[in-house]
Amino acid sequence: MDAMPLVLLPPTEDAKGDGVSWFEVAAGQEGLLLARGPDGSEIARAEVKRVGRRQGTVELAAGEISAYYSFELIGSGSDLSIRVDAGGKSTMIGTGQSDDAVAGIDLDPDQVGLVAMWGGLRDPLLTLADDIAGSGPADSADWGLAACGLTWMGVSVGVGACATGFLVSCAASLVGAGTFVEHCV
Amino acid sequence: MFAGNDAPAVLVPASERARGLGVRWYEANVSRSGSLSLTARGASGQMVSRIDGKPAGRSGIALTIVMGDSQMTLETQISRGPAKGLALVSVKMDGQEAMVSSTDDNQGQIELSETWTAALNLWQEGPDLFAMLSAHERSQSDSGHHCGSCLLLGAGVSVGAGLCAGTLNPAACGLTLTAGGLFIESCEGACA
Repeated sequence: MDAMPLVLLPPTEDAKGDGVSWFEVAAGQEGLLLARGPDGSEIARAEVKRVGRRQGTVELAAGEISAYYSFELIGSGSDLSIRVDAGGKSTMIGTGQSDDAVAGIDLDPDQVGLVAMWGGLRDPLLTLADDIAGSGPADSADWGLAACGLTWMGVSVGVGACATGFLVSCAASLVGAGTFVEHCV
Repeated sequence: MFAGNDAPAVLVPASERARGLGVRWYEANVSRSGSLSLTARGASGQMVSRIDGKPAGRSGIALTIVMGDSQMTLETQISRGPAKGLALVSVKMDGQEAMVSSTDDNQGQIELSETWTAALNLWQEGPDLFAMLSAHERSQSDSGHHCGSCLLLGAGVSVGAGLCAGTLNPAACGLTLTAGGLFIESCEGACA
């Protein structure tokens, strides 16, 4: 499946509390994720860009609240790490990093809530990417544009949540990043 | 982006419950001219089950559920219920009929075959899926509901009515009545 799919995701429990009825994901190298209310109105958005082979930027916005970070995938395999930059501070995510080192980006509480909400889409995006890729020919995993686009988006929202202190997001983001480096770079 | 003959499918990941039944994601297609399909796909992309739908009169939906070698039909007629915002939904499943209503006296239960039981179990999330797809489709249109979004809404009502009549699942019955009410308010004749 190489065509860019439009993906709809049911709201996570947290997002339901924010009035989100569904998420809309247009996956690509410059992807857009929208959180929609019951009448289809836009409640929040995440703009995810791939600005290099291994670099990306993420802009999150909901009303007057916004947050921005960039990240880079460094190394590969068991030496893979991810550097996240936001507000002039950097933090590293990697198998050799301590939890204290990971939780290194300071955001105000509203921004943290925004990053956390989008971080909740990490697993659905990465799982769907895996599923789509797995549907290709059995002897050659078909990591087409759709699967790579969804993986990139899953990693993009996941690293932000990890770097903000949601440690549950760190391991899955690293796994997703490893998959991306292996199949999509 | 969704409705139209050449539009790419819309994908929705399966819930954990559906994953346990072998479904990995759903692929939806709808045309504004009046047909829809929702395909449940498995780990290798194979079709696990598919629902095809088309209008049946001004306020009815005819669904065909394909599952393995079996093909089942589910036809629903939606009309105004006794209470504001609630519908009266008559449902016919392979010849058996029942009525879903907010009153107790005319609510029948359909005896389900094993195949129907398996199909309704697989499609338990069907009403929610169709409701989300309908809301998304409606959001793409400046004029609100149109045939495509109404077909999706009606398909959700139909699957909900099947679940309600077959299993008396209270959540499915409630959703059928309220979504049916919205259908009557917004969709009657939309595909005529």
